[in-house]
Amino acid sequence: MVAAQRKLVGRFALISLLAVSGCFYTETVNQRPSLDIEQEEPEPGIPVYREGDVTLRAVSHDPENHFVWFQWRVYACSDQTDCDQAPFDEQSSNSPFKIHVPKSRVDSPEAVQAIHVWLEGQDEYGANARPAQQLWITVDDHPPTIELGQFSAYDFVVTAPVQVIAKVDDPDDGPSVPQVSWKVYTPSNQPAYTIVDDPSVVLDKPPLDDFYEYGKLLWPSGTGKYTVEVTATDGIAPPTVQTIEVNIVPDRAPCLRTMTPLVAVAPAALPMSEPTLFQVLVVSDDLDPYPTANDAHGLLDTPRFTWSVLAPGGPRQVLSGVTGNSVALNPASYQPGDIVELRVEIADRNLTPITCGDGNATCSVIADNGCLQRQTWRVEVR
Amino acid sequence: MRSALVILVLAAGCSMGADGGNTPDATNTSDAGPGDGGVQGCAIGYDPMDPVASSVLPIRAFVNVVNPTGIPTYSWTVTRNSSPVAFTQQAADGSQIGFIAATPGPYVVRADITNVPFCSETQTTINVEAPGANIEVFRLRTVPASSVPPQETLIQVKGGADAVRPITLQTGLDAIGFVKNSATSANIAAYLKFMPRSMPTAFSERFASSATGYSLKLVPLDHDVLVIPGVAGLAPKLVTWTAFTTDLLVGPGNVTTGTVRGPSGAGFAGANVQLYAGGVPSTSATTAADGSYSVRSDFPTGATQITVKVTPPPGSGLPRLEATSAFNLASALNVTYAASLTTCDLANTPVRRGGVNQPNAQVNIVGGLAGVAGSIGGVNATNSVRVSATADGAGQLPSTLVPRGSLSAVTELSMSDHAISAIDTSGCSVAQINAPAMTTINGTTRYPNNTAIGGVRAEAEPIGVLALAGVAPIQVVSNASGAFALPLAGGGRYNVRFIDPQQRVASLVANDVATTGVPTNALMPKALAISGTVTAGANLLLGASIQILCATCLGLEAARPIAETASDSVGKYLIAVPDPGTM
Repeated sequence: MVAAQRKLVGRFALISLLAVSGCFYTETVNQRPSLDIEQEEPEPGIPVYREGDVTLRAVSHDPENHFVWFQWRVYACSDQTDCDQAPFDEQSSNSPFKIHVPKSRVDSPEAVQAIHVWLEGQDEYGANARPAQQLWITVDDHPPTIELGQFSAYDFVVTAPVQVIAKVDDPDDGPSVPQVSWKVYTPSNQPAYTIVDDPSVVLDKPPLDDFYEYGKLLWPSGTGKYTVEVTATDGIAPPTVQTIEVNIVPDRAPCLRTMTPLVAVAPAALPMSEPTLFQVLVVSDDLDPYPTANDAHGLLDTPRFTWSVLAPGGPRQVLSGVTGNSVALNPASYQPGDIVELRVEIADRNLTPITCGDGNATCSVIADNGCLQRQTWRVEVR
Repeated sequence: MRSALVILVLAAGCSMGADGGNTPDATNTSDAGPGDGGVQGCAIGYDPMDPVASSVLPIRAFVNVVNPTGIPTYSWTVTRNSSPVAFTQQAADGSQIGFIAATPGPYVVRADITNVPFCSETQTTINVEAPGANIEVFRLRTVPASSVPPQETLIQVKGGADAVRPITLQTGLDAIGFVKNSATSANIAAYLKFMPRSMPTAFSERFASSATGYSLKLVPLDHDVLVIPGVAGLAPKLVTWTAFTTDLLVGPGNVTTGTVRGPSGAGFAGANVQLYAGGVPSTSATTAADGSYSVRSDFPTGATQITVKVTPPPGSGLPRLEATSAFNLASALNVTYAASLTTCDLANTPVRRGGVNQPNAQVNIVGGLAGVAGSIGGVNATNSVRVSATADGAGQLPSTLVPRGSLSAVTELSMSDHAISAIDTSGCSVAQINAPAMTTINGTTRYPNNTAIGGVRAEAEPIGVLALAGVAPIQVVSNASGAFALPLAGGGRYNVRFIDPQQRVASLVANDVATTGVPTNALMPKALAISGTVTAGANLLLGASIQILCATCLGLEAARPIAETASDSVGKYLIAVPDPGTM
C-alpha cells in the first residue's frame, strides 16, 4: 500500500515538472525487427548433399517497415556440438543466399555432416534483430550417380561386341573410388554371353575428370534384349543401380549405297565411248561393309562382289576372276551400238542367295528397295 | 617466322575444298552475346605456320579472344595420340603456351577459357611435319551418299607424318531444268554429264526426261555439260551451265556424209562410223548397202582435231580404222580400206591345250596389222583387229574371217582361264591355235618391315592384247600368312596392284609387267593416315566415299583409286595414303 502511494506521488511530480516547462515532445521509440529463415532449395525434407547447393531466404518483419540489412554466416559441422571455428561462407545480402556445401570441414578432415546457419539483421536505424536466427541443416552423403551408354561398331549385330560405358560420379567422397559391379540379364531364351573389361577404355578418374569411367564389352551369342545392370556404392549411402537395355539384332543384309558411273534404267543406257571403271564405292553392312575399316576386334570383312556381263548374242557371263569392288569395261571389246549389261551382286558372310529372276535389273533379298544387293548398269557402246 | 592464320570469323561463310591446312579449326564466335552486344569469340593460332618436328624449337600456341566479359583465364592441354604433351606458359595472362613436338604427326591443342561468352573451350589440331618431308600431290574425291554433289580437290601429302585434314564440302545448288531441241523448243530425253570446268573429273551424271527434265545438285561453279540426246536427228553437244542456267539446248548440228569402201573398192555395208572432237561424239551411223553414211555433229568451237572411228561389222574379217586430223567436215569424209587387205578363214582350225582340242573355247584374234590398212579422209588410219569366234564341240573353229598378218590369239577356256599365242595368218595356213596353260604366280604380301600381311587383294588388270580381247581382271586375296596365287595368262602383260582393304599399308603397283615381272615378294609401302571429319555446311556427312586418286593420270588410271574409304556413322574418316617419305 505504501509502495503504491509512493509510485503515484512520483508520477504526479514528473507530470507537474513537464507542465511547468511549457513544452512536451518525445521521439518515437524504434522497435527491433524480427527475422526468420526460409529454405527455398532444396525444399525442407529433401536431402542436402556435400558439394550440393542450398538456397535460403531471410524473412524480416519490422514494425515500422524499416529496411533491414542481413548478415549470413555458415559453419561446417560434424554434428551440433562440433563445428568449425570460422564460417566457411559469410555474406551481407538481401538476396536469397546460396550456399555451396563443402565436402569437408576446415578444422578437421571430417566430412561435413551438417551446416549451421546464423542470420543476423539490423534495420536502417541500427536496431538489431533479436534473437539472431539459427538453422541447422543435416548434410547427407550423396550416393554415386551412374550414367550408362552403349556403342557398337557393328550395329549391335549378334556375336559382335557391344561396348557399355558407365560414368560413375561421386563428387562428395573423393578420393575414394566407388565400388562398381556389373550384372547381365539375358533375353528370355537365355543365350550365352561374356562380359569382359574393355581394354580400350582407360579409367578416367578425378582429378583429370570429374567422374570415373568404366568400360565393358558384352559379347552376345544370341539376339534379343539384354539388360546390363550396374551398381555403384561409396560404402556410406545406399547403392545406386542403373540399367541399360542392349538390343542385339541378327546380321543384316548388305546394301549397295554409292556406285559410279550413273546407273541407267531401261530403256535408257549409259553411253560408253572410252574404257570406264565401274565401281561400287560404298556398301553398308554391319560386319561386311565396303570400304572395310581396320576394326579393333578383327571382325569386319569385305562383302563378296560378283560381277557378270551380258553382251548381245551371248549368255550372261560371270566374271569369276573379279572379286573386288570395281571392274573396267572397254568399249573396244564390243561393237558400237551394242547394249551391254554389267551386273554386280553383293553378299555378306551369310552368302544369302539372290533369287530374283535374271531379268530383274535390281534385287533385294529383304524386299526393300532401299537396300539392294543387285544392281545392273545398262551400257550403250559407242 | 610466319604466324598461323588467326582470324576470327565474324560472319558466316562457306569453306570450299577439303584442305584444312593450317587454318585454325577452333573458331568460336557469336555476334549475339550478352553484355556489350558485340561480337564475342576465340580461336587458337600457332606458329610457325608449318611446324616441323624438332627437339629444340618449340611450337607456340595462343588464343585470341574478342570481347571478353571479364579477365579471361586459360587452362591448356596438349596431346598426341591421346597422350599428354608437356608445355610451358609463354604469357603472363596464360594466353600462350609453347611445347616441343619432337615426333611428327597431329597434336591436339585445347584451351578451356573463362569469361569469354560462347567460348568456354576451343581446340585445334596442329599437323607437325617430319623434317625434310617429300611432298606428293593427289586428287581427293568425295562422293557423298546424300544429294551433295561429288567434289574433288588437289591435296599435298607430306611424307613421314600422319595428318588431320577435315573435308568440307559445298552443299551445292539445285540445278533444275529441261533439255530442249533448239529448233522446236520441245523437251527431249538426254544423257547429261556435268563437269566442273576447274575439275572435270568431279563430274555428275543424270538422265533428263522429256516430261520431268533434270534435277541435281551442283557446286556453284561453271560447268561444261555433255548432252547426248536420246532422240534421233539431234547432235550431242557440250553446253555451258551456270548457276542461272535452266534449259540446255541442243540442235541438229552439222551433217557430215561419206562412204566407206572395202578393199575391193565397193561400198561397205554395216560399218559403224563415229566422229569425236573436244570430248564430244557425233551421232553414230551404220553404212548403207552402198557404204554411204551420214552423221550429225556439233563440236566445240576450236576443237579442230577430229577423230574418226570406223568399226566393220562382225564377220567381215576387217580391222577397225581410226584417224585423227583437222578434217573438213563440210565435204565428204570417205573411208577406204587398203586394196591389199585380204582375209583368210580359220574354219576347222583346232583350238588346243597340251595337244588336246578344247571344245567351246572362245577365241579372240586381236592385234594390229603392219602397214596401212586404210585411210580416212585421205589420212592413213591406224588399225586394230578384234575378231571373235567360239570353237565347236570338237574344239574346232567355225568359219571365221580374219585379216592376214601377224596377230595374237587370246583363248578363253573359262572366265578365269585365258591363254595367249601368236598366230600368223599371212599364209592362211594356221594349223592350230595353241592355248598354253595358265601360269600361276605364287608370292607373299608383306608389311614394310618384311613380315607377312594377309588379306591383301592382288589384282592383275590385263593390258595389251588381253585387254583388246576383253579379258577381265583377276583378283585374289592373300591368306593369313600373306600367301597368294595369281593365275595369269602366259605371255600376257598386266597392271598389277596389291591393295589392302583394311588400309594397314599403302597400295603396291607394278604397271605393264609380264607374268615374270609380278612382285612375288610384295613389299607393301608404308602408309600415312589422313583423317578428319566430312562436313557439308553444318552437317556431318555419313557414309561418304573418299578416294585418293592420281593427280596426273589420264583415262582409266585417273578413275582408279590409290586408296579409298568411307566416312563412318559420325562423319569421321581415315584413309591410308602412300608415304612420300623424307629426304
